Order: sequence, then structure tokens, then C-alpha cells
Amino acid sequence: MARKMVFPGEFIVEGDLKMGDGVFRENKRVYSSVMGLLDLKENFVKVIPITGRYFPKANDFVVGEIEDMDFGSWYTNIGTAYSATITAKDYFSERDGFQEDISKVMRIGDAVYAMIREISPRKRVFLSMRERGSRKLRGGRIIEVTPAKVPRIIGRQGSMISMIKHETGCQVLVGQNGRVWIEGPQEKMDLVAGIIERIEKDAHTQGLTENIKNMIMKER
Amino acid sequence: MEHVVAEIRRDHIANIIRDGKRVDGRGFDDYRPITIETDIGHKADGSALVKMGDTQVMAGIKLLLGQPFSDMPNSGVLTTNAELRPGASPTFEAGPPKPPTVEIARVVDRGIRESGAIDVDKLCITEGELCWIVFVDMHVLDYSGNLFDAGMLSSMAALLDTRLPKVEDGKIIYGEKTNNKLPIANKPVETTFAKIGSGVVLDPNLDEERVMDARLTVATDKSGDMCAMQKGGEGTFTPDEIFETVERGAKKAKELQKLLKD
Amino acid sequence: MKVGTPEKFIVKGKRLDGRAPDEIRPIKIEAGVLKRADGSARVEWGGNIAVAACYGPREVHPRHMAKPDKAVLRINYNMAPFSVSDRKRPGTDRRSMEISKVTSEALEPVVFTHLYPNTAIDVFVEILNAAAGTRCTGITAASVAIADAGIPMKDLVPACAAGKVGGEIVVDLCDIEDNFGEADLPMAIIPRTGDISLLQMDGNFTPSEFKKAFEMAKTGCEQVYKVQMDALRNKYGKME
Repeated sequence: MARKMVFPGEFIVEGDLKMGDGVFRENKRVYSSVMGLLDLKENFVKVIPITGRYFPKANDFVVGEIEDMDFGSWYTNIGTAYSATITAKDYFSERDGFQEDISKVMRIGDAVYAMIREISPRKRVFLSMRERGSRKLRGGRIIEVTPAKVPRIIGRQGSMISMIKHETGCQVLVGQNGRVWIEGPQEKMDLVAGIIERIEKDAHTQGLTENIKNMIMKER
Repeated sequence: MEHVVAEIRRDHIANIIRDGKRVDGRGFDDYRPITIETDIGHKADGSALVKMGDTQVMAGIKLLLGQPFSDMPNSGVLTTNAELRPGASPTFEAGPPKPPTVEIARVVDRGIRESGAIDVDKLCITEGELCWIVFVDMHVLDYSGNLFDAGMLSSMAALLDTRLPKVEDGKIIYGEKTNNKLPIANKPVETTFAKIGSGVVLDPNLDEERVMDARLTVATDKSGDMCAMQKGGEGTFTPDEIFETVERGAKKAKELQKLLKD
Repeated sequence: MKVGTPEKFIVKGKRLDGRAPDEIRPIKIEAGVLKRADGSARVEWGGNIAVAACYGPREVHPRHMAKPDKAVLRINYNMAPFSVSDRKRPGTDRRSMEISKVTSEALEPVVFTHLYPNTAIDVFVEILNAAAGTRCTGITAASVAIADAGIPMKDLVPACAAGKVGGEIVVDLCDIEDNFGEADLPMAIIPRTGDISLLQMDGNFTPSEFKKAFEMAKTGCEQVYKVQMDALRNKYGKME
């Protein structure tokens, strides 16, 4: 169903509804605080933003790039206001044992796919490499997309991304921070990058999955 | 200018260049799309906004009256300045100009000066007493690589767009322009190449510039002669690479000169 | 009286540039004009040209400026050297610092800064051509750039000035009116509530002239607001 586009300050509804993100209330009147698509239900209202920087949330998977390190931690850039730390204990599992010199496993310039374990009250972000799915990234390429479009790239229950991986044979990891890692033969990587660019552009159009499927078929 | 770049990004760009291609699909000697818009604001005596891919540089010309330098009493004065505005990139900071900013201004200045782009003798009004002072100000609005070429192109387009202001009793009457142009005698342009791994490519975009080993800028005048050069970056070029790059630059210079309207 | 003051500012109900006293100059706004910035806008208003670039929320430099309970909103207003008649020397000056400060304060009430503690929201306003009213043009551009960056806000903030020329109250002064007029009143409003977030004045108003100028500036702001919203709709409206 096509959703209504709303803008900052736009009046949405009057009442005591529960409020999600992207809205605010003044004198019982609910307004949008962002540009986005309105999600208005009987007793709940929120606005799904269509633009903006990524803001870290616990349990999100992100692509981070190691910018600095010391004897016990790596410091990664995840493209947000807060740099994200990976401590040695968030890397090594008890089974694999502890490495004294952490630079033997990851160095400055390495990239990782990791989960946000915690955000401290002072907004320090901690990543974990011990979660299933997290890994150091080897080879391939990283592309950037608008973080607000990430859900469309993943698709409902991962349908879109599964199709892309299946049809192209590439490995693809989508970070909620808008960084996407792609690995495979050069021309397949280019194809995936092209597909993702297309999804980003047409994110809010009808029949997106079908269009993307056609795009892949044409490339064959 | 940029932070640590992940090795994956560097390797990907170098690998694709090794295969004879580029990340954005261009050939090694292709510019990104270039547009030049002139006469942007009426306060400047001449102005131009150059878009080179996603890079945007505006140049504005201001003419002042002043005294010639004592060692060149018959010549006007040229001053070239650049500002990498903090809105143009997350890595640019407000404050006094830093070395990369000064480098761009000086390399563009050398190209204009050494090619004789402006006939400075014609800018002298009274020997030793009164002359035109030409201020070229490059204002970088969006940084996505290759500020040298975009900066030079915007400066030259703005100089060509300039109309002298009206003068009465040795004073400029602001807001009243004449139809007189600056004495433009040459059309230098700059062509910048980036060495990335095994390849040397023209007009590096932001991704390429972030990972390049070295950079070579060649300023070429309208006769095809060189009038300024600048090697930059931590890496090196072989002599063969230099000669080959200069030759490629001279060819591309002709294309850029066609974009500069008289 | 200053040299060059026109004899009359209004002839047969028309101002020197042909406008009616309550008519603002033509204004054009485009959102998303820069690649690197998180949000951006270009405003052409009368002869003014402003480009605003918004970054954030991002890390605060220098760190001691960070606030533990909210984002710092910093607007940096800068005039290009070629934007004015007499070349402006690059670098900050007292006028730019003051305008940066009042612009930040004009926008602060609408931005949800408390959502982003210990961060900065930076907006850089570049005046590329100045033709009276650059601060209003800058605020108008900055506010669209912040919205374009997707930063939550309660409303956009439009700005517009009114003033007194040749004894008459007029809206949105042009260069010559600004140079030789008797009073200038730049204002910014929060259209949804009608609250005032920027107000400066210099010159001379009687209390009743002030009331009239105030209403005129407010009406001007409301007109500018429509153009701001259209700019966002042009860029994002097609995504429904």
C-alpha cells in the first residue's frame, strides 16, 4: 500500500496514540518531525524516515573500518557520530583462546561485519565479533547507500538480499549503517552494485522485487 | 585530507585499474561530465561555477585599483586564492588555509601567470602609480576529487567572464560595469592524473584520490606548451610515466580549452 | 543624509525595483545540491545566492564543545570574497560571528538536539552573492539543509526582513533600500506556532511603525516558508 509522505512540522493526527520514531506531540496534536512515510494505525503512529545518517542501535549489524587500535581494543569508523570500539573480549571466544598481540588478528585498515553489543549512556558504541554472522572482511568491495534505504535492500524477511545473492552468486553483507560489502568475480560485483544502486533509487516504487528480478535476468 | 581508508577499498580500486577499467566505468583518459556556468552573481566582476562530476568549485573575480609593485611599475597585479570551505567535505575544517589549500591556489596561480593568460602590462593605468589588481578567488563548495583541474577551469572561465568596472577620478564606481574585458592572452588549463598501483588515470574522483599513490598536474597553454607542473602525493613516478602522462595531458588540454568560451 | 540617497523610495506605490511595499523579491530554493554534505540547499532570493551544507549528527571537534545532554547546533555563516562590492578578505570577522550566533539560535528551537547527546550538527552557509538580506537568505537555506539531512525538527524556519525607507514601511529590502533606508528588521519565525526565533533591528521606528513592520516581516516569512516546503516536496514528494 502506498504510504503518505509527510514533512517536518506537518500535522498528522489528534489524540493519545502511542508514538514511535519520527513524530512529536504538542497539546494532544501529533506532528511529523522528519521527511518520511507515515505509518498511522488506530492506536499507534510513527514516520519512517527516507533520508538521514545512521544512528546506532543495539543488535544492529554494521560494516566497520578499523581506524586505530591499542593493546586491548580496536577503534572502528562505522560512519556515525560515535566511533565504535571492539575490545579484545568482544573478539576472542573462550574456545579459541586469547591472543596476546591483538594486531595479529586485526589491524588498522581492516574491515569488519560486526554487531552493536551495547551503547553506553555516554553514547560509546561497542561492537561484538562473537555473534553469529560477524566476521573480518577479506577481499571484495564496500559500497555506500542511504541508511534509510537499507530495509529495502534487505527486503521482507531478507527476501531481496537472498534473491540477489542467489542470482549472482556473490557474498553480500548489508550493514545497517549503509555500508554494503560485496564479494565475488569482478563483473558479478559490478552487477550487485548496480542492483543496489537501483533499489536505492526506486526504493519506494511499486513492484520493486519484480523489476530487480528482470534487471538480473537481462544481465545474464 | 581523508581518514584511514580500508584496505578493501584500496585493493578494489587498484585491482580494477590493473584490469584496465575504473570504478565509475570511465576510461583512463576520460573526464567526468563537466559543466561551466558563468555570470553567477552580479557583485563579482566575473564568476564561474564549474561542476566536474560531483566536485563543485566557484571562482569569482574582484578588481581593485592600487599601486603597481615597485619592481614592475608598468604591470598590474594578480592574486590567486583558494578556500576549501568546510561545507565541501566532512574532513575540511574552518580556519586559516592549510597546506593543501595553499598548494591548489599556487599551482593555479602559476598556470595563469606563466602562460601569460592575463596581459598584465595592459592592466597598468599610470606607470608606477595606478593599476588594476585582479583577485581570483576559488571557493570550493563540494569536494569529490581533482580540485586542481576544476579550480583552474573555474578561474579561467571567471576571468573570461569579467567586465571591468567603471572608474571615475581613479575610483571604482561600484555597481556599474563597462563592456571592457580583461586582456586575456592565453587559455591555460590543468590536467591532473593519479597513479594508483600500476595505472595512471586522469581526473581522479573522490574514491580514487583517497587511495592514490601519487598525483601529477600539468598546466598546458593554448599552443600545447607546458606552463606549470606539480607532482603530489607520497608515492613516485618513473621517468617514463612522467613523459607519457605529460603527453596525455596535452591531448586532454585541448578538450578543456574548447569548453572555455571567449 | 548619506551621499547617493534617492530622492524618493516609492513612486506611485512602486518601489525602486518595481515592487509593491508588501511584495518580497522572487525566491527560488533547491534542496540537495551538494554530494558530500548530509543535507544541503541553495537559495536564490533577489540577487542573494546562498548555499548551505549540513553535516551531522557527527563527532564534536574540538571535544570540549560537546554537550552531554544534547547535540551542539553550530551554524557558520561565511561570505565569499567576491560576494560583495569591496572584496571581502577571507576569514571570519565580527559581523560573520554575530550572524552565525543568531542564526544558530534561530534554528535551535526547532531541532531535536536532545536526541543526539555529545554530537555536533554543523551547518555551513556560504554567501556567493550578497544583495541585502543575506542573513535571512542564510537562515532560510540552513533550515532546508537540516531537513534535507534528515535531522528531526519541529518545523522549518523561514526568515524575512521588513524596514523603513523614505518614511514608508516595506518588506524584504533590496540593496539600495538597505543602504539608504531608515530601519531594518530581520526576523525568523516558526510558522506552525507563530513564535519568533530571530529578531534584530537597527535604525529608527515609532512603536506603530514597528508593529506594521513586524507584521510585514511575519507575512514575508510565511511566503518564504511555502517555497521551502516546495523545495522539499520537489526532492522527496515523488517517493510516495
